[in-house]
Amino acid sequence: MTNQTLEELAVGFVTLQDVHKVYPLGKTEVHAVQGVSLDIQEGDFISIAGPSGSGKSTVLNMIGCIDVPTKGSVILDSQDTKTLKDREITSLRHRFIGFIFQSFNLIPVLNTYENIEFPLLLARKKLSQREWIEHLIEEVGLKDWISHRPNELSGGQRQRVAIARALVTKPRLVLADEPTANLDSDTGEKIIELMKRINREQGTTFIFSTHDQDIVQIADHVIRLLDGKIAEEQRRGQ
Amino acid sequence: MIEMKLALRNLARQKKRTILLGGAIAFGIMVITLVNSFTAGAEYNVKENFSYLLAGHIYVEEQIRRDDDKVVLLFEHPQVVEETLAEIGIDARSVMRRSAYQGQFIFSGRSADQTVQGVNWERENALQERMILLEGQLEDIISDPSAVVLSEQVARRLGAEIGDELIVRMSTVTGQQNVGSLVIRGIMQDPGLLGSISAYAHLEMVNSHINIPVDSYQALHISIDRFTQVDMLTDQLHRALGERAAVAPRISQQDVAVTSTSLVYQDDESEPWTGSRFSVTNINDYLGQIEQISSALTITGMVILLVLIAIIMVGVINTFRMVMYERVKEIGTMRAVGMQRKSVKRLFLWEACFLALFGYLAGVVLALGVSAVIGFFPIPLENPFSLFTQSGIITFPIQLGSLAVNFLLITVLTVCAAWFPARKAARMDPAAALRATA
Ligand SMILES: Nc1ncnc2c1ncn2[C@@H]1O[C@H](COP(=O)(O)OP(=O)(O)O)[C@@H](O)[C@H]1O
Ligand SMILES: [Mg+2]
Repeated sequence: MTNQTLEELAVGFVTLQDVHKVYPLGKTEVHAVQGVSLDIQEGDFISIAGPSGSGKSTVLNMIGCIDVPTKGSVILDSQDTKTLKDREITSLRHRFIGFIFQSFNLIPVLNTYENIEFPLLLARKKLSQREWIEHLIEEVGLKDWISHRPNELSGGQRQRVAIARALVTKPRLVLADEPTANLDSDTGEKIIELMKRINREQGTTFIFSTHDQDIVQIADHVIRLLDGKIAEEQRRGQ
Repeated sequence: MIEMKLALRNLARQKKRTILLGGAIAFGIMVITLVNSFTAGAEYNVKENFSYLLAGHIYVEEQIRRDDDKVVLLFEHPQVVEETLAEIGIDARSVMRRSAYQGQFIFSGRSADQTVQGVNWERENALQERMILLEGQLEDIISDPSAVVLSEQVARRLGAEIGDELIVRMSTVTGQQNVGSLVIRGIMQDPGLLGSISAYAHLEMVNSHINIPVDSYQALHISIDRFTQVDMLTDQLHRALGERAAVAPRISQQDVAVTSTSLVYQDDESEPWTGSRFSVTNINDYLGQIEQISSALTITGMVILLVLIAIIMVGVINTFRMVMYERVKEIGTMRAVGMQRKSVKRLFLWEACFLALFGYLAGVVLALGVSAVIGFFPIPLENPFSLFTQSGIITFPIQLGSLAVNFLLITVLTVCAAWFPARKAARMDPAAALRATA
């Protein structure tokens, strides 16, 4: 076990080492995450499961470098993120990670195509890559909605736009925080299947959180959180 | 680029707010643009109008101190001035000879006080052009040596008509009472400037009324094409004349006043002189008060602009602070997706910049519209305010310099006002922003 951890550390694709997160709350503190250690292999399709308030979002945010641990370290792409400046972390996020959110978080003033294109325009070399964007739009089944704005799309369609946006920079890791929570169960399942297909076909690593038991089943690797601690870790086929 | 695109779309997204805030900017810019143009136009028009009334822009007089210490205006050494003018390149055709006196017209028991200008009709092109004859013909005026042209108002006050002979009382240059007669050959429209206007008679007749040689004159009035050169040319002439003869020191503006429409000699006790000397003055000497008024107007405009800008700035700061809270989640998303802090900041600054630009353009367009509309309503010439107009029309010449300054001012200040909210947005913790429920 110890040897394996060290080996994986050397790879250092995504590693959390004894991560804690404490939020101040009025005069007291909330210990949202209490000593989580994780090691994630590239190409995994992982679910972080747990009831509301168990710390799923906090863990995902720390993996995604949009939040910093109070204690412990997050290693991404062999880099200890503690040592990076905001500018470097932002560009690491841009290059390495795609995000999918519970409430889609599309930019309301941009249409489907522009929302998907958006991360590309943040790069230093502003290549728009029309064919790639159109391919992604086809992939997520939104060919007929290419110039619609988010408020003209259904929840499922919006989440498809968000998936395409998360994939447009060809990230190695996609983080999805309860991507199905605002969708009905049929649509939610389709979204997870779409993510699974992309994971199979392109080898993109996905980590998604959910509190829905049915959806948890689709993952290869399930990490169950309870009160900010890992309660159980399951790997399919192990 | 993406920041500019988002900035524009975000402005379009909140139309009402953009229109309100942009409208406030537009209003401020409109007011200041109008004030700037009006001031410049009024200043120009006043000078134009006075150059007509005073005939020309630069004035040369010869002052002679007599034995009894009285000062008389009369050219006894005209050739000195003529040579000097030729030397500095002033065309003889732009030089007019004039004499004038304060006279009292009397007709059938009524009287009216007037400045009587003695002019050489053939050479007074500007006078011929700008004088609007309501009755009478120029040829008749030129051919009758005792012709006088009165303003409509004065003719009405006297109850006199074309062809009527008037008694006129005046004093000679030496202060003796004298009486003459003049025949009305023209009645001109009253330009309404300063309420009273000169009557015009032949130079020779005026000379004989004030008892100076008929072929002499009291003042040279020089017209120049460009106002901007007035002071330079005046000083040049003053210097050149000073090399040949005694000259009165150049007067400072507060020492002179326009009384009615003629120049008056005001004795300067500080520098005693004897014999004869020349004085050189120009229109700006007499219009010092006008420039004071116009700079007061400009300052008023600036104060209005500053007050408006202060209000606008508060509006911009509040709006952007609000915008920031409304878009917290969007900002969090953009940051998560890989937008750098400085990009987020630029996004807001561009938005402010475009807002200022649109407000500014709208303001200038509004100002042009308002000036065009005002142009449809001429000021009656009896109204003293018409002094500031071009034949009763208020003019608003476009002031490119002020337009540029105002543009920079409003843009820089709007961007500055958005600076702090923009910085706050840029520094926002993305995790907290994404958790926000807005
Ligand atoms: N910004 C915060 N301030 C205070 N407490 C927080 C903050 N964010 C999360 N928490 C608390 O941390 C715990 C874990 O939250 P979260 O990670 O959102 O759980 P989950 O996503 O599993 O619902 C909860 O008790 C939550 O109330
Ligand atoms: Mg959550």
